[in-house]
Amino acid sequence: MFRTGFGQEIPRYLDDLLWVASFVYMADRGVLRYTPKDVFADRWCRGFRMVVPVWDLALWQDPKVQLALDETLRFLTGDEWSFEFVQRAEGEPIQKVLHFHEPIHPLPRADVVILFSGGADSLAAVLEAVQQGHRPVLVSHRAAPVVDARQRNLVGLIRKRYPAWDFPHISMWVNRKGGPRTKEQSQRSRSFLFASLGVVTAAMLGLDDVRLCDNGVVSINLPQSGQNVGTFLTRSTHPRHLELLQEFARILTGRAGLTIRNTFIYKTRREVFEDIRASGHPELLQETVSCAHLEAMTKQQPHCGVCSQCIDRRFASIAAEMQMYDLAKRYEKDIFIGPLGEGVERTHAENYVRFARLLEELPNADAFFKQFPELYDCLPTDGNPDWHGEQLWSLFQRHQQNVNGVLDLMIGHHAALIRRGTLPPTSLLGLMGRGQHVVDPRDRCAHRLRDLLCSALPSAFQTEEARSERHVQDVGEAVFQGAMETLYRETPQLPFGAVTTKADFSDLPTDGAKPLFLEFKYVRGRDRLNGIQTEMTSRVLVYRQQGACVLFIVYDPNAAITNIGQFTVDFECHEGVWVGVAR
Amino acid sequence: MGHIRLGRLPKTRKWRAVFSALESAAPNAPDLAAATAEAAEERFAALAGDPIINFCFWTLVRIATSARSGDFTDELLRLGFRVTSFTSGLSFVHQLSQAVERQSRLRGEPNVFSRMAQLGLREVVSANILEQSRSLFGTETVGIQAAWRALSTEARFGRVARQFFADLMSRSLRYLVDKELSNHVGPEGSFASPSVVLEFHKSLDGYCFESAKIVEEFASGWFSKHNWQSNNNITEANTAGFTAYAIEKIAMELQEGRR
Repeated sequence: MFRTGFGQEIPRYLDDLLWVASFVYMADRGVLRYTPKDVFADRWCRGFRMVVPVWDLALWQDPKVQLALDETLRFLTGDEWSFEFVQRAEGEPIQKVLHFHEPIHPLPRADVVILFSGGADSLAAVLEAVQQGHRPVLVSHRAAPVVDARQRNLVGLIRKRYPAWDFPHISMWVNRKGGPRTKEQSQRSRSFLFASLGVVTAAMLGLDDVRLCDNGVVSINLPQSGQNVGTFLTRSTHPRHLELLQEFARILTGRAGLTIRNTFIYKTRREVFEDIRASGHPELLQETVSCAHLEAMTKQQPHCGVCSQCIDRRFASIAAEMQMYDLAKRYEKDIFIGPLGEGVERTHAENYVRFARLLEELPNADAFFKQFPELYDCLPTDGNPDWHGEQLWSLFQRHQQNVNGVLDLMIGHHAALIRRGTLPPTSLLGLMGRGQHVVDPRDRCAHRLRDLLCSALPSAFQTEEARSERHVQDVGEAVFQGAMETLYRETPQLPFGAVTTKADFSDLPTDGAKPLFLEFKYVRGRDRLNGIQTEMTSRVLVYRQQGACVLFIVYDPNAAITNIGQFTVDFECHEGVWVGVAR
Repeated sequence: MGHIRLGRLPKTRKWRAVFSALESAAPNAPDLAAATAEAAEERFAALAGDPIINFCFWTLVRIATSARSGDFTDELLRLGFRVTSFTSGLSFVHQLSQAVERQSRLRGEPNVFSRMAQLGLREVVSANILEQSRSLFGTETVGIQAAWRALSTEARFGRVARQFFADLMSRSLRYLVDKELSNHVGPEGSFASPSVVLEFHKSLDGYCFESAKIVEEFASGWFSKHNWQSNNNITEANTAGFTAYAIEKIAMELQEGRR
């Protein structure tokens, strides 16, 4: 039984909800779902059969309640859940582990419940509600003392800035006391417990507005690499989870108007940070912590800097130009220039920038949905799917622009380290290699074209030897023409020209784009090699004078070129010149 | 919130060839695919009998066959759709995703590979609506049925089946390879940058598609024959044999690819 500080006892069906949520949380933590040896994650999805005593047996045995609970937990945790509810006996001792900590009397005149973790996004949710004229009640789950202290500190600071409202803060301890050590760290069900606290509070205060807020990119949590499948990625504030949770809470409480929502679902973290700044209290950002390892961190450096949350926070604060409220020295490791350890550190960092790069490559919302079919889970059951689809596309495009923009900025910022060659190769900027993430699109286009032609030419001359350079040019041009539509689609900004006899510069684009010309060479034997090199050298001069780029395709079926690397580098050292050798 | 669980490949003899392929001066899709498929041989073999993967493929078969008949919407209801009138391709795939998820629960315990099959099904359905209707946005029920009718011919269905199984295999390979790949990115690694990894993923996808050619050839004949024999009513049990064959063949092709 739960005692409350509301001056009244908690209704029995809500007492049951906390009881069920606590059981689920403890079961989730008590059964290991993954070991490093389980490469195929065969033990990731677990099956739970729970026998739970409840007061309001008829309500919990209602198939609608059971189905809604089952669907909510399955989506959130990826596990199979089966519940058998039995009658709870009278006279059980009062639960001492679970209790509302702060006495609140009389009932506050609040109008919205905000689930408050102490992170930047939940702070922004509070500030947003205040800006909207609301009087929020903050509800927290205290999993550890350090978290509690941080949340209390932040609430105190908010109260000082907005003295017109008390910001009642209900914080509940829910953790293991005695018994075996908790085994599983993933805690996918924690959000259900957290939200249940919010629902109970809302029902006790007669409120219908519960907010569980996190920025859209983190909420949707798209896979950044192939190894991220299903609930390997948390779904705490995923739109489908909130939809299922809301349905469950409505059925359970009988409050048809109850909403559980994330007001930041279509905002990037940068935009959430900008909201904090717009509130007039940007300094509060530095009092929030986003790190996944918060218990292991110090007061001076509360962020590890290398977990997915820290990486995203660091990028967002730079993108929002709020570094002065999110100092680099508060991160144990500087993600940009600090060496990253093999394994988790490097994988998070590399996946993060790779994901942004992939998003940058996608041409439209159709391609986005095809690339990430997980997005279909984000569409609401009711509502206009196309509108939501467009919002999702726009959200992730803004995200990639933020991330790629920050990378460009930081490369510039650390240009001296890069120039001196003293940047650790395993730092995030070091992982960018030779800056290939910002390679000129002409480079990528030329490389694709080169690969296409170099693989096609030898096949084209399998049965019939090339008769002359003109013959090679004709075949090459045919290959090029066949693939032209695709190439244009990939890099629409590049005009092409294929050189058969001599370059025609009469039709150069007027928009400043450099045209890319293709020139074919045929090395019949070693005796032709010197002549061809001389021709190519003179051509390079002409193309450069005309402000054009050139891709030489050298067909060398008899391997007359002994060192392809040296042969190509002599030409490719000039900007806008590429060489491919086909044999 | 927003946490991501990462894993690594064990440094055991079984996975040694995968590490070698990742550490080579010029990693290539055939070598890496072969080494991974060999290391995961037993697990991949077990996928052949996975009822959820088979259900996903059967769903593709049913959508294609029903699009040819007059009872397209009735068939969707039988497949577990709760709505049969769509305002766009997005809403169609959304409904399909939820129906498949609900039905999958009745067929066995989920695992990462069955999840990948569900995602692969969504991807293939999206790709084909896109190919036929140009966009997932704004394409209504009639357009979706027309798109699937166009894909229900013997030859076109072979292609769809190939896409589905190639996608499943590609996702499975990337699931394993990506556990280690990031450790080999950078100027001192085998992959010069994250952009190079993206290119490599594309070549791995392309290579899986090439390796699944045999599935396309077999699927065309299989689809035509069974459709005729069953009077447009291929059952889930009918597809089980084909699913097992397709997975075994692609896995074998991948293993033999570098030889």
